[in-house]
Amino acid sequence: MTNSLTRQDSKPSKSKEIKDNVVEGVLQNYLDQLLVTATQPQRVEKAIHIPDIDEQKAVDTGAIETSKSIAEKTLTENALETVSKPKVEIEQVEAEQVKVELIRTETAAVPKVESAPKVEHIAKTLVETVPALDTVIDVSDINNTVSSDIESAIKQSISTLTDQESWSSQGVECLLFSVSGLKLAVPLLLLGGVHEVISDDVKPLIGQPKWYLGLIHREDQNLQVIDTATFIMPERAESLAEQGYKYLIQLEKSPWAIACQSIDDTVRLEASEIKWRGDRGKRVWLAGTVIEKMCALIDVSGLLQRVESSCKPV
Amino acid sequence: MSANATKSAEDPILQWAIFRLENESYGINVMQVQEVLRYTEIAPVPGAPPYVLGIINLRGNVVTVMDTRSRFALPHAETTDQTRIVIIEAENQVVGILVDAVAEVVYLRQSEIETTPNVGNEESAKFIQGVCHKNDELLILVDLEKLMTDEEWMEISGF
Repeated sequence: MTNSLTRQDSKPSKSKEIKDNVVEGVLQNYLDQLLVTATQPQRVEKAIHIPDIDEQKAVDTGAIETSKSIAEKTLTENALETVSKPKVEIEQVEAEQVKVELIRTETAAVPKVESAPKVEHIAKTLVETVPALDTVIDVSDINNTVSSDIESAIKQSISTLTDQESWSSQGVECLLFSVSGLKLAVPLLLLGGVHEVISDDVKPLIGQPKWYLGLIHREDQNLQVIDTATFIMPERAESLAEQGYKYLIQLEKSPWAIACQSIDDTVRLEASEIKWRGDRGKRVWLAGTVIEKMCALIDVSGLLQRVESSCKPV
Repeated sequence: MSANATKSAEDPILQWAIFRLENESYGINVMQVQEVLRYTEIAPVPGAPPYVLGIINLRGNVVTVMDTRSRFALPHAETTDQTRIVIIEAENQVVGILVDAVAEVVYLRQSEIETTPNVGNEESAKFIQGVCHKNDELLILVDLEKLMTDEEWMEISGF
């Protein structure tokens, strides 16, 4: 009797499971279709209003300031401040560890920094490797190592920001921008900067592929500009070189920047809002899609890897 | 050795002759430039490869003139008053390159020159030796030796 009841109970449970799987499959297809639809020019023209550059100026200024300040503050200042003086006592090394803890706390407030334990471990290891606790030692070399290790650890942790697990429950501020009718989002923490393009600032180089728009000099460095439309949506045969572009979004602190036509807004995206893309084999630049905002979230590290994989040093 | 001399040895200063093509500035090592000529009639050579415009008579010597625009995959343009033929020496040969204009000679430290990632598979991408930002202008530095392949250099030596 009990067994029959159990069987009876298990039947609806199984059918529910199957139903859930079907729903999930349908949802998955729907989301994939959504991205495909969003990348089709005809539909996009009807569905999405591409704001004029003039309309966006007020919004853009705010977005640029916010992105710059947050990205630069978090990425560079905190990481590089950590070590600077040539000679310190061992207590100072401990102080560095406290600073590292602070960095971890600050970065954890927005995204979850996975490599924070690694940073702590680096500091611990250094404390352990100091020969004598009372001795004042020249730690300039160690400082350099700590600096570079912390920098790389933080960089690595931030690079994984587009992984689902790295997103905190509070969400992450993202910058929304438009490229040939497609709305894209990039986490502010992964922005190296947003640059406005004035007239023919971007200098094309001979013999480069279509997705390479050229070079531009900004803030004492040459940025290499990617035609975002051509690079991420080659099947659409859209080209920003023909359509024009107004802004460049620098990816992290790399020398690469993606071109876009307008900067729309900054929004806080939560992990639950994002339909994460598990298999990124097809579109390595895509971290996921956000239905509510009708946008695609860029996987910055994936995009950079793809760009750099197609580059050979001269 | 003085500090300045050491610095110069570590970071040599090179002179680059700047010419313009399609509104971009290109630099070539000034040591490879023999002279700059105003545009003169170029006699076409039957059967010459497409990158050869023809030949000119330079004080009794025949000099092959290359179509730089064609080499750089740039569209054809009419000659103007600014058009020049830069006589260069590369791969032990003297050839002329037709350019839109010749601008100036600039001094660049080796450290100022940035290499660019070669993202292109096209032949013309290989010409770029580096880039440099000077006086609010991006200079594209050209390696003249790579302007043509060994076979092409051999081919034009026959003219």
